[in-house]
Amino acid sequence: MHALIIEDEIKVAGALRRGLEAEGYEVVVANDGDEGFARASTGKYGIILLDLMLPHRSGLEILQSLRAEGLQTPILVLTAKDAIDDRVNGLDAGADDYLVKPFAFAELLARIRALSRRGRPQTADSMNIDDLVVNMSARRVHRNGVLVQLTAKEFDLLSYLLRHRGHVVSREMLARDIWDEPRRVTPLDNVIDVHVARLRRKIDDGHEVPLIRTVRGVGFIIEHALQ
Amino acid sequence: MRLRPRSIRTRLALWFTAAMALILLVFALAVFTVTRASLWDQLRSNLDLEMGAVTAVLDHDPDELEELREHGAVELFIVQQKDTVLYSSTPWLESQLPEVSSILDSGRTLSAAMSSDEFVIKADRVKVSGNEYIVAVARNEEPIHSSLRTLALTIVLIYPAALLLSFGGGLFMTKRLLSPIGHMARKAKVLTAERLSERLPIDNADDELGQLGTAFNDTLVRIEESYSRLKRFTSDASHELRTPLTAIRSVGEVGLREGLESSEYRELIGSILEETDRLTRLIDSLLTLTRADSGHFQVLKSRLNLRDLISDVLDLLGVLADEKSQTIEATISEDIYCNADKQTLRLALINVIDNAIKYTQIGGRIRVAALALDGEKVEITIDDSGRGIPSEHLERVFDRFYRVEEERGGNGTGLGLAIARWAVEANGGTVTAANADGGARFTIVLDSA
Repeated sequence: MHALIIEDEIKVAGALRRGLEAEGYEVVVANDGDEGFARASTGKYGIILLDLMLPHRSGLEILQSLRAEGLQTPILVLTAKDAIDDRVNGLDAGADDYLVKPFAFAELLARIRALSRRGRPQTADSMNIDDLVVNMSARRVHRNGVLVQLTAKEFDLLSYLLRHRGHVVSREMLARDIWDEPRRVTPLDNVIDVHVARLRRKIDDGHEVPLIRTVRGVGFIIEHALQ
Repeated sequence: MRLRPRSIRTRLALWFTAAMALILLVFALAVFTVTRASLWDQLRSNLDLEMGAVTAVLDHDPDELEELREHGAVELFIVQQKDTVLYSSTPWLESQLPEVSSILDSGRTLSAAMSSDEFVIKADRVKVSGNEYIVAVARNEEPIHSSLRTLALTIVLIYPAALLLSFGGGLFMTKRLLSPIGHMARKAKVLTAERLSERLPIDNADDELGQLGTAFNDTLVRIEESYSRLKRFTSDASHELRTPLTAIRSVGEVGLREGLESSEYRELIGSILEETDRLTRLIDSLLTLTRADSGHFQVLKSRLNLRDLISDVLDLLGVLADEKSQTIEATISEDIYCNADKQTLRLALINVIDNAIKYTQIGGRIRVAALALDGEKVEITIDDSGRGIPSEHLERVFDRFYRVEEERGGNGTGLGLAIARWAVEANGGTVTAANADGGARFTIVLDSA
């Protein structure tokens, strides 16, 4: 998939490009508003990452012009302005989602995946990875044929990790999507860590290679034990 | 443009003088009018007396009329029978007063101007032993006019002198009264952010200027307090920000050394990311508090069931207590409601209860209770069985970055209780810390609903 990054901070743009390329995206970077608008309106991209504070032409203007031209490409707004007004303005102007800087790269990837998945039916009734089988409707989990007893939170956690299998899930994502917390307060991080630790104990204890891993400083991931 | 003297002192003196001028003017006019009226009254009653004297002499012995004049009792008079003059005093003749009959025709008294002098003449018909006479007496007006002239002159001379005196007195008085203001102004000029401990001099704390100075000094005390809080906060904040930055820097420098295994690099990068995360959270918390400080934060109050809210928070944090084998007891009656914003109050409860869990030993217990106070307020208490808070620190536990023990580098940001206090106060409530039942007790009081 092609991704366009419109971002004037060279370091940030470079890091995003390398990160996305490592995930298999083909990336084009525009370093100011004019170039960004030109590339966005001429090229064909699967996703556009747009910084709001840009020289020459503000991100909001670009957003409005692109939508006025009828461009349908999903646009993810990146902003350092953590104010409700900016979010509302951005979404009103036609953004599909927004991320406040500094953000975790894992979170960015998850948002991009979510945006490109939009409109497609998802989530099978049963998900599995290696010998772990999760039945969504019955809310039952088996590992190697043995039933694993999980609490409701642990089950939600596991299915969320599975939906993002192979990708790191950050604590921000868990706080927002599993705990429904509007702001990430410190105690919540500890709560998340405890729940993940318990889930890992139930899923991975007694198995040689763990499925759930902690990626230090980033979050958690579930992936094939053999990798 | 209106002319306006710059100093209050001059203005006060001018106002004072103007008031004085008005008062003196009214006073002078009154004195003048009253004096004039009484002089004229006196003249008229003298004329009445003289008339009586002349009539009495006429009745007794008309020949004595001459003696009456010589003794000086009556100066100007004339006695006639019809048009025949029986007696006329010499001054009367000399003064060339008008015919008495014409005076009688025009009324009983009359002013007449003769030569340079003016006279008041009183004439009457009197009956003495069957004969009718015409008697007239007169007095010169000049003494009255001269007295009044002297009075007016005196007033005109004294008036400006009095005004001058009152202006001078006004200046002197205002100078005395306003001199503390000058002192205050000089002292206020040297006040700077670095010298906030200076205070204004106060001569008399009870008068108006003293009250002003006291109010100013009280304000200074508050400014000094908040300024020193701000200074402490800035230095604490920079320390807190510097700690993760130092870690990132040293970890990065270690990472630049050659010959590390790829797993070691991962460890180093992971630890950098952890510190970054900590910085982010710290800044988020600071932003929350800053926004609260700037007053831009709006709370949406509604009727909240405390039992539901507290169970929700305990559900969330229960695992943390569970990990430390602590028990949490909640005693909350079913129908206890408060009027507050759900998100902020929840935030406050999360932070206070998390604080209790954090500072309670393994296997300890935490008690959360809510009860209604006198129908107006509700009280939430969070008791723990931890070590409690040293009494000299009770006031400061809600300060930003304040920690009872120097346990920096722990997981907390040191802002939890500061955020809790802000969140409670944003809802119009209070939160206090105390030691009770062998542990710390936090008490939140809110409006009931």
